[in-house]
Amino acid sequence: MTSSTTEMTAGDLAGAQPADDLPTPGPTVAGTLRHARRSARWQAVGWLVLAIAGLGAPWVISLYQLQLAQQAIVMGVLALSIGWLLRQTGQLSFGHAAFYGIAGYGTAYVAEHADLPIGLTLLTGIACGTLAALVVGLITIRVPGIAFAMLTLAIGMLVWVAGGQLHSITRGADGLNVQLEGSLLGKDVVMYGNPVEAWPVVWGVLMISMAVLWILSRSTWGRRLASIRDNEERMRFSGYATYWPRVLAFTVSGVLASVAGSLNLVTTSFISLNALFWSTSGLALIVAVIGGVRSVLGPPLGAVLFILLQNYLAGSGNHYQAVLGVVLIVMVLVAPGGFVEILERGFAALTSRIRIRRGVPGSSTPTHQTRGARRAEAR
Amino acid sequence: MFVQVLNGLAFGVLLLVLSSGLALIFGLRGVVNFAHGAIYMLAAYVALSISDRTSFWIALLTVPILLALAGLLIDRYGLRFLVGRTPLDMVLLTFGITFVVADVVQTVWGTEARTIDPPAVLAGTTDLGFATYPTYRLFVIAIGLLVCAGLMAWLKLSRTGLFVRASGDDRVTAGAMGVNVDRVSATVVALGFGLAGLAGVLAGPYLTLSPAMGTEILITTFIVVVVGGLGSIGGPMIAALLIGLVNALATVQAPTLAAYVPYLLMLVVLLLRPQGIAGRRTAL
Amino acid sequence: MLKLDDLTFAYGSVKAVNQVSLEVEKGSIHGLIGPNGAGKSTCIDLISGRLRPTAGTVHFGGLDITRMAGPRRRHIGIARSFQRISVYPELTVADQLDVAAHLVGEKDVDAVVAALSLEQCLPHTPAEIGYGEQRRVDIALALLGAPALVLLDEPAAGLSREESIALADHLAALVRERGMTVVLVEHHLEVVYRVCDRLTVLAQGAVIADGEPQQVRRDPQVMEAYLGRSAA
Repeated sequence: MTSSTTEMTAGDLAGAQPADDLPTPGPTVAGTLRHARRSARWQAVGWLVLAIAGLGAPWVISLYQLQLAQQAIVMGVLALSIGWLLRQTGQLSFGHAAFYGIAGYGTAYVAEHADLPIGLTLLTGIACGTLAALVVGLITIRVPGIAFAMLTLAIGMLVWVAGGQLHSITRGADGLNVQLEGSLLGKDVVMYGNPVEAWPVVWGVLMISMAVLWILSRSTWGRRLASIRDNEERMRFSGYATYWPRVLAFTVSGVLASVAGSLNLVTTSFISLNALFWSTSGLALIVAVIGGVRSVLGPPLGAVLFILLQNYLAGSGNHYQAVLGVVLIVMVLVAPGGFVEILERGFAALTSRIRIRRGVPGSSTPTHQTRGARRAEAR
Repeated sequence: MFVQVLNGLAFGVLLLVLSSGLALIFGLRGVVNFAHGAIYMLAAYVALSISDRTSFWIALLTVPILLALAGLLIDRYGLRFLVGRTPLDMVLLTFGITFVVADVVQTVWGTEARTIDPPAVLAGTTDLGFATYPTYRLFVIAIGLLVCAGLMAWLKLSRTGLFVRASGDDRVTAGAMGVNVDRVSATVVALGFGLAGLAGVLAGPYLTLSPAMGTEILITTFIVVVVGGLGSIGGPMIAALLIGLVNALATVQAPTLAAYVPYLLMLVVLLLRPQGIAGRRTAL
Repeated sequence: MLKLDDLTFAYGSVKAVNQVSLEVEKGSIHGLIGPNGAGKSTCIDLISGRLRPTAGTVHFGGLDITRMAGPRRRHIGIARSFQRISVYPELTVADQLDVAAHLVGEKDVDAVVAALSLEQCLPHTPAEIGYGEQRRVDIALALLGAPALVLLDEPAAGLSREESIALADHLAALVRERGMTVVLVEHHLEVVYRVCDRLTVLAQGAVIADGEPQQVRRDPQVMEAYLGRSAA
């Protein structure tokens, strides 16, 4: 213990009483937290800028690129759900493909067999995936560590096997072409087959998902979840029953995986058994880790990197798997915080350089701002 | 019926060789090696090339050694850096290896299914009195059981085996007692990879080689290790034979349900005694 | 205030705690001492709900809490610290105290922070602060919300003699002032004799002496079982 303890005197004890005459001198808990949250405003601004700027994408990039971006976003939302669960609860799920696939198939089934408005059809699909996540969460959430990863893997595979046997509904590996009908958000849903038409919705879903998770992480509940992740037993002895909050977190993550599943169906009108296979979860997990799970920006960023990589390597013998594997290995060894961590380090190096040449602001200022916004978003 | 039992036994022995490697690595490094299936697959393909050019026997000898060396390298330049990080980082690392190996296999050997011809001595069938049975499968059963008996003896009797058990129990204490944990770990990872390699070679003339073979068997191996208890060596051995048998019998008796059986088994075991797999060391 | 009746806990066939009965008076600092493996920490675990007893009962303020869940015990006023420091490794001290304070309805976290001189640690994570400071964070987590009963499991473990005494004096003053009751498990006998109002001595899971510190100190049985062994 440092000198501070030996200096503890009756004076400190006086301070221990609820002092109503003077505010307690020195740093306070609330003050420290406020200080730590300074960046929140910049992050919110960064998000807003990104959200609005992203809407303009169809005017900037080509149709093909837009199509890729759309794929990246569907994958990004799934990665976001897995990454957020990992970050917030420390639990690694290999079973999210089940929720993704169940939502997709649920939507397809309802669209074919019931005459519901398209909005309700999609909601029903998402509800199916969410319900599955709730059930899985209820039975698995107490299981610790790697056992949880394997348990979710086993459940995911059970769903996959079941999907294979329900061939009349799923059409197996050949897949199912789904004709959605009706009007969604003022447009005929068929229009969403066109990436330009679909873009505002796709982009909006991603941005809203990021915002919701960002807010949840910072809420009282989110901080409690992080505390449970850090030390579940201590949290129980701080008077918090830890079961339901974790079930809820798993379910929230399942909602997002379901949203990704429905989004996939709306934009591609196609789903196959592959959606349920564990590699769908595995790939989304890798993407999330490469992007960085510590921020809500990481998983979508990882998905974009993945799609770019896959597309870039498609011409040269399609070695994206090997490259992806190597990237993952390098990331785990060198930058466990993922690509976002690399960006942060780069930003830190940049600011220190700017600080050295403080005399010459000029052209470096705009870079500073955009990077700042991006980094703020990354936190 | 006897043939079914023997089929189950042959598959069980294969699982046994694979899962003891997985269990060893888990016990010592605390790593659930997701690359285990990929290593097995790589071994089968390398054995294909070697036995095409020379003979199956040379493949049987060299491939496990080659993969053991690969294991040494992965331990030295990968896993060792991750000691003290969460077990999930190690999972992700081995997951990355899976992707690389899958790509290598597809690039070098293509995606169509292949088979290895068993050596002439083992090609036919043997009359067991009550049934005739492919000789090669009998050979797989014999070799697998021999290797596992050897492994058990090594763990029980040798000095290194004692160290393996000691540092598997408690890294810190073992380290303090003068066990060179890093060296024991390297030995064990190499051994685990070597065993996966052996399983791959053995599987070559018996099962079909395809780029999906690694993933398929990986999940079954996980199930074996989970059911048998991660961190123990004897448990998975019994579980491997059991699951091999159940698998073979269920496929014949109730083919629709057979596909569910292993996953349900894993589910039930994990829910009822997660400590069987999680043990003391894996809890996050 | 707290009453244990024939409390027993068995790990398999070994009885870690064997028919322990004792009573802790409101407002007192009750020391629980004994050689290693005497069952002191197990007692704390049984009172806090970390373990369920094999037999016997625990009453708190007249309420039978033998089978009550851990989190609920915190809300009726039983808090604890841990022998192996138990804090939240990735959260800053400010964060973890704030989260815990909200849970137990503590209005004035800063008072607890000040009482344990943790101001300078607030923006740091446990890895960035000293061992003694981590201990005090653990204790602060227990003291939040002014629980009626605080179970301190070796709060001075790993500290030097001077540090232990300073911490103990300070804790004693704090809990007396706030009217808390304390069960203190501690190895440093000097600390125990200094702050405790009453002592219970355990050996091999059973109570071998109980009474005022001066009285217990002279008990020949205690000297043999406890001091004799620890001296050896």
